[in-house]
This record gives sequence, structure tokens and C-alpha cells, in this order.
Amino acid sequence: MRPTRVRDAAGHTGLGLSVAGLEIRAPDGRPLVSVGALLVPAGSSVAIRGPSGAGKSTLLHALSGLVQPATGRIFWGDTDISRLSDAARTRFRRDHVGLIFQDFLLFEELGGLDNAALAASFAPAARRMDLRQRADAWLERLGLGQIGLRRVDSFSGGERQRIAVARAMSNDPAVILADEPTASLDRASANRLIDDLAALPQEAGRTLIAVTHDPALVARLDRVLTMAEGRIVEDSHG
Amino acid sequence: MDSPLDFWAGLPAVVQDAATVVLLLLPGLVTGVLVLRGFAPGRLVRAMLRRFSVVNAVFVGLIAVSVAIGIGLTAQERGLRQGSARAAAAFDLILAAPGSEITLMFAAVYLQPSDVPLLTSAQYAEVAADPDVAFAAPIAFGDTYLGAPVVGTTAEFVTHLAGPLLEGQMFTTASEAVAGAFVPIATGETFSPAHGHGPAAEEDAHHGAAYTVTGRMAPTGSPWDRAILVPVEGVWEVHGLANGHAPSAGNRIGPPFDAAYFPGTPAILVRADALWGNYALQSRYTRADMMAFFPGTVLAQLHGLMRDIREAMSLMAVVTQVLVTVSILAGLMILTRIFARGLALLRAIGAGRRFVFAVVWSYSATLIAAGSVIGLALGWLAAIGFSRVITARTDVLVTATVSWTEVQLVAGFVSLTLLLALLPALAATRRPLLTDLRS
Repeated sequence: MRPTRVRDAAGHTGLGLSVAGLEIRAPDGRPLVSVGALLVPAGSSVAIRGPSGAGKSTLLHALSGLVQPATGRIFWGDTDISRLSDAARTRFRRDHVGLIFQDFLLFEELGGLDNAALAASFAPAARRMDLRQRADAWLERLGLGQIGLRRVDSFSGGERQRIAVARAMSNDPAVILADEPTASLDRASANRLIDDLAALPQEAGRTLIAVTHDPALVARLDRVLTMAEGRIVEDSHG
Repeated sequence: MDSPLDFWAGLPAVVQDAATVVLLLLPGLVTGVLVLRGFAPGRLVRAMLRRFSVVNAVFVGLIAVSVAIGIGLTAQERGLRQGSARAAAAFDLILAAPGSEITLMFAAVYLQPSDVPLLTSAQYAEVAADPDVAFAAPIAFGDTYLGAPVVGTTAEFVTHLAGPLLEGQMFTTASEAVAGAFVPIATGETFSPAHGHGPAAEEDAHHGAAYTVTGRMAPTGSPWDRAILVPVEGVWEVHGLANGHAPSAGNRIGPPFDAAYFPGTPAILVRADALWGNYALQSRYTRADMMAFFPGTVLAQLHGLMRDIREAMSLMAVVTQVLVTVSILAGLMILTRIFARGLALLRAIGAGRRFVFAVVWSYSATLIAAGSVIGLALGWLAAIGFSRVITARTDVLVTATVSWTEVQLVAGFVSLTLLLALLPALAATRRPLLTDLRS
């Protein structure tokens, strides 16, 4: 069964996830992740937790199209990204996915706004202004509106991660994939970020999947998948 | 309708030169347009430049120095060639006893010390009486004053060489002199010449003989600017010889000379009434007891002999530039690995390989362009500096400036290296995305 698109009152379109028979292997053929079936409705939020080496990040990378599975299907809405070319998966990420990383991955020599609007660099000319305005609006919303022009090497960890969130949101994604988004933050910064992340699916019908060890984040999401040795061993609702 | 070649030949030189620059730049420019089409990587490139500003500055410096060396060499060589030709321009035809034309040319035109056999009074008289000769100026050298050659000649030749005097008046007696433009001696000063040149000059050889400077020549851009010109009669007299005129002639100077009192001269500088006449004179006086040659022709032969060396130097300069740039591009390939995580991030958030390619190429292109422009400026400054040194050492006015040739050299270099810059850009797109992202 494929997920259906949902549209919220503001007109945002979410994408649901449908995974079937997914196998991801290491270059030497060793199995890394095996997921028989997984459905995530559009507009919901999911935490993936588990011990180190359980395959959480590998699964997230596969869901984002950064890793090509050995077998199986990964549908986002009607699009089977496991059958797409590398270029098409890249375009899919550009148009539909917002990625958030544990260590922010910002360009230190750029200002906050330039980092948040990074996608404007490679977007079609007609969309660049829109992307920058949206990034600016997200910085404003995340409390960084006044310092968006400062170089990020002067920012705290919490501020950097909020810039990374603004970057992920600048293309108005239907899907947000976050890999340990609070792991590098102090508690106060992490709690603020959790508030921001948890609001995303509710207000715009976006699908949020976050790999995390943080119980505070897990507690705020709709559903919790627990992985061990490359498999989903528990699926519970938060 | 004109053929393209005719059309090209009909264009003004400056248009041809500018068009050549554009044509040379075209491959690089077209590459840039194709690579950057649809992207705006400026902010990212600036970030990459700031990230390793010292390393980037070193790369730009290396490119600049290699470009400057190439430009300096070619500009200097051309400046020296033009300067030496300009210095010889006033010397239409030189007549001398048979021997080495080059030795004579260096002695008569560039005033380099040399021992040459003399032409006799009969030979001079024959030349001076030739109906095709406008003037025939004997020159006599061998004396100096404070390192400045003291050259005996005629007032007519002084005027021919430098035009109207810059100050004062022409010598009118055998004990008067006209200083070259840059000789450190004032009008009105009196000096006693030394016999010979350099450290071996005999200061007291002409004890009692003295010249008074009555005027100063305008600059000629030749070693004559640092010479003191005196009537040839004066040189003969201080050497204890007859002065070219019968005693009954009194203090007269200048032609005609009396063959009976003409002691001989190492060279005669001749000018014909008409341009073609110089060729007739050259033919007439090229014979067993005399040689006649055009300094310009001898220079052209020398320059021709040096052409192979010049071309080899130019080739070496270009090869050096390209080798330096290839080394730098190899360095950039290594440096790109340091940027690998950032580039992987770009691809992760949706940038295509072509954008990553464009970022890395733009980064390399910026270094190359900056190095080349700075190199052009450095080469220009180096050429000016070396010109001054050479002018000071040889008294041949060398004015080496950056010309279209150098601009074209840089344009070709930029274009070639912009194409080579595709390699590190390509390498950056081939890197494993996930490995770099996790690095």
C-alpha cells in the first residue's frame, strides 16, 4: 500500500513513506539494514532509536536517497526513490527533503543567512529570491533574525543547529530527516530545538523522521521505532 | 567580396590585437559560461577562498610570479631589441677599414672601447668628395673624462644625432665641447681628458690639454647621452697629430679637411642625399680597402640570430607557467579533499554534481585569474625595473612595457589553465558522497 499525499489548511503537501523489502548491504555484502515493511503517514513524526551500530543512520540515509538499497522499495508519496538515478534522487532531495545533521555542517566562512539559504546557490534563478526569503523567515522564527548576517563561527552550538534547521526548511520540504539533531547541544538548546522540530509536522503536514538518543525528543514525536542489528525490533506510539 | 583573410588583414592593428586576445580567451570564457550557467556559486567560492586564505594567497603568488617571469622576459627582450635599434637609428652608414662590422658597430654606435685600424686621409677625401654624400663625419675616440667617452666628430653630426642643443651653443673651436644629455658636467666647466678607458685610463696623458663645455645635447636614448663630443680636430691635437687643416687655416674646425693634414679616422659616419643613395654608397665603398655597412642591418642580423634563443625563452616561459599551474591544480585537487565534506553537504541537500563541479572550477578559476592579473602587473613593474637597470648599465634607452604580445600570452595561459581547471572540478564530483559526509 502506498501512502497518500495530504494537504493541510495552509496548502502544504506532505509525503508519506512506504518501505517494502528493504535490504541495505555494506560494500563487502554484509547486511546492514533489513526492513520488511514500514508505513509512515504524511504529516506524522517518527523517532528512530537504538544502540550504536543498529543501522539507524544508514536507514535514514537510505530514506533520503543518499544510500542505494540492494533490494526493496522506498516510496515517498508516489515516488519510488530506490529506482531513481543518482541525479533524480538529488533533485528529489532538493525539492522535497530537508536534512538536519548532528554536527550542523555549516560553512564557517558564510553568514547565518547565507548558510540557511545555501540551496539558493544551485536553485533555478526564479526560485533564488524565494529561497532566501524563506530562509530569512525561518531564521526570524527560530530567533536568529537579527544575527543572520553574522559569520557562523561566532555562533553557539544551539544557534548553529537552528541555522541548520532554517537551511533544511528553506526549500519548504515535505519530509524532514534529522540525524541526532540534539546530540551536540546543551540541554537548554536541545529543548528549544525540540520545540521547534516537534511543531513542524503539526503545522504544515510535513513528515519528520529523526534518529535520536534523546528521550526528550523521543517523547515529543508521534511514533518510536527501535532498531537493533539492522532491524526494527519495536514500533510504538509516543 | 573580401575573403576572411583579406578582411582580417584590412583591420587596424589594434583591432587585430584586441580580437586575438578575445579569441585566445574564448575557450576559457566559453568554458566558464557553460560551467556556471544557471548557478550562483559566488558566496561559496568566497567562503572557500577565505577558508584557506594563506594557502590561496600562496597559490595566487606562485601563478603571479610565473606569469610575471614570462611577461618580464618577453617584454624585456623586445624592449632591448627596440632600444638598441633606436640607438642606431641616426647612424645611416658607417665606413671603416676592413674588419668586423660588429666590432665597429659597437665602437661607433654604442661607444664600446675598441682598437680598430684607421681610414687614411685619401679614403676620407674620396668619401667626402662623393657627390651622393650629404655629410661625412669622421669620428675619433679613445679618450675619456670621468668615465664618459670623449668623441671627436663634427658639429654637423652632433646636430644630426641629437637635433638642436638642449642648452648652450655648439663648439666653435678645437678646445670646446658639447656634453651628452646625461653627462655630469655643467656648461662652462673645463676638463682635461684622460687617455684610454676605465681603470687603465691615463689621467695625465694629455696634460695641459683642456676642453670647455659650451652646450648640452638633447637626449638621444643612446650611449652618446653619456659622451662628451668635441671637434675631431681637438682629439687629433691632444694626441699630438695634425688637426686636419693646414696651419694657415688658423683655428678653423669642421670639413672640408685638408688631406695632407688628415691623420686618419677609425670610422666615417656617412649620410647620403637620398635614402637610396645610402645603398649606392654602401655598394660603392664595400671593397678591399674599405667596408661600408648599415648598423641597422647588422643589428637585424644579430636579432635574427637571437630569434631562436628568444623563441626558446618564450617557450620556456610558457612551459614554466603551465608547469607551475599544473602543480597548483594538483595542489587544488588535494585541497579539494579538505572541502570534501562541504561539497558532500551540497550534494546531500540537493545540489547536482554539475553545481559541485561549478563551485570547484570557479574556485580554481578565481585563483588562476587573480594570479594572472597580478602577474601581468608584476611583469609590467619588473620590465620597467629591469629596463632602468639595463639603461643605466648600457646607456641604451630600454623602454620595456607590457604590449599586446604579453596580454595575448596571458590570455592564452588563462584559457589553457581554465581548461586544465576542469580536472580538479571533475575529481571533486567523483568523490564518494556518504564517505565524505561522514568524514
